[in-house]
Amino acid sequence: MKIKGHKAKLINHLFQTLLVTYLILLLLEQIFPGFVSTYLNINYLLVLTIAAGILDVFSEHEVIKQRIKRKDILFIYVLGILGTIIIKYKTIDLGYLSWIISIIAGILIILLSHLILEEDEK
Amino acid sequence: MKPRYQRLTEIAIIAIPILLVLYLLTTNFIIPQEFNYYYNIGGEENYLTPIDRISEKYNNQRDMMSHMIYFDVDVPRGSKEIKIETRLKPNLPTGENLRLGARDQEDWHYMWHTIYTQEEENNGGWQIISTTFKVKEENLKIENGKLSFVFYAQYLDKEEYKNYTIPIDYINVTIYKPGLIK
Repeated sequence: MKIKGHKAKLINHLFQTLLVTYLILLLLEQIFPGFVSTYLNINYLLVLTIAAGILDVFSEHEVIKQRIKRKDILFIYVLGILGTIIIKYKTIDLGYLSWIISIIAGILIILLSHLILEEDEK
Repeated sequence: MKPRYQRLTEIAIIAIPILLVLYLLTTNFIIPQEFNYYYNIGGEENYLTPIDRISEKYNNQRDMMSHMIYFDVDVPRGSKEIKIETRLKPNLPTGENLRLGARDQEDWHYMWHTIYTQEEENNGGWQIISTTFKVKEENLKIENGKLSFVFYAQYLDKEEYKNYTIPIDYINVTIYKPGLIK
């Protein structure tokens, strides 16, 4: 049985909000250890996100086809650079290996995002 | 036009991250807080390292069998004071002392507080000993939200005292973190 209409939209909205919130809190915790975990167990948020994600899978969504815009590509590059910086920051103790890992990870983020965007466009 | 319940639900969903961020900002920066961690050394979990310098638990206690015994404490960002209270039997020879160190440098280096000095003959009884470290003034090194502490009983390293031990019951840590509101 599929969830349809307004309910499906709300569940999708809830899932996206929880997922982005969880990822931002996780990132904050990685950069500033204890900033989140001292006051909040984000595993509870993860459980809620997974539950919303499962419901979202069983919901029916309208498929809107969009062309890839310049700002989408720019966004991908920003994410790739951001990913490189974060991974470099977290692996800084590894020396020169840290550069290799972070640059490869950044390239992967950009290439995979491109691939997914192009798949969506087809 | 969207039904009312849908608009209200959307607002409630948007409110989730806003409330979480407000809560985290308030607890991290605005409200002063006190954290308390109780390490039951004689309990199931072992908080002290290295393991080979600690005895197995017995009678709700363990024995420190060597001169340097470490433990870590989770210290929230912006903490000001860390009070360490411990209950132990300082079986020290006269004139010896027991020190507690908090890590204050990237390399192996600790800020030492003498927490007990044996002035008379040892009576063998339990004692509750406490000391307070000041994070900023003593320049303590908190790494990944953790601060390393070490009990240091120098005499336990000497051959003539190799059979000596220091029984320990608990460590109670109280951390004070100031906020913008006093």
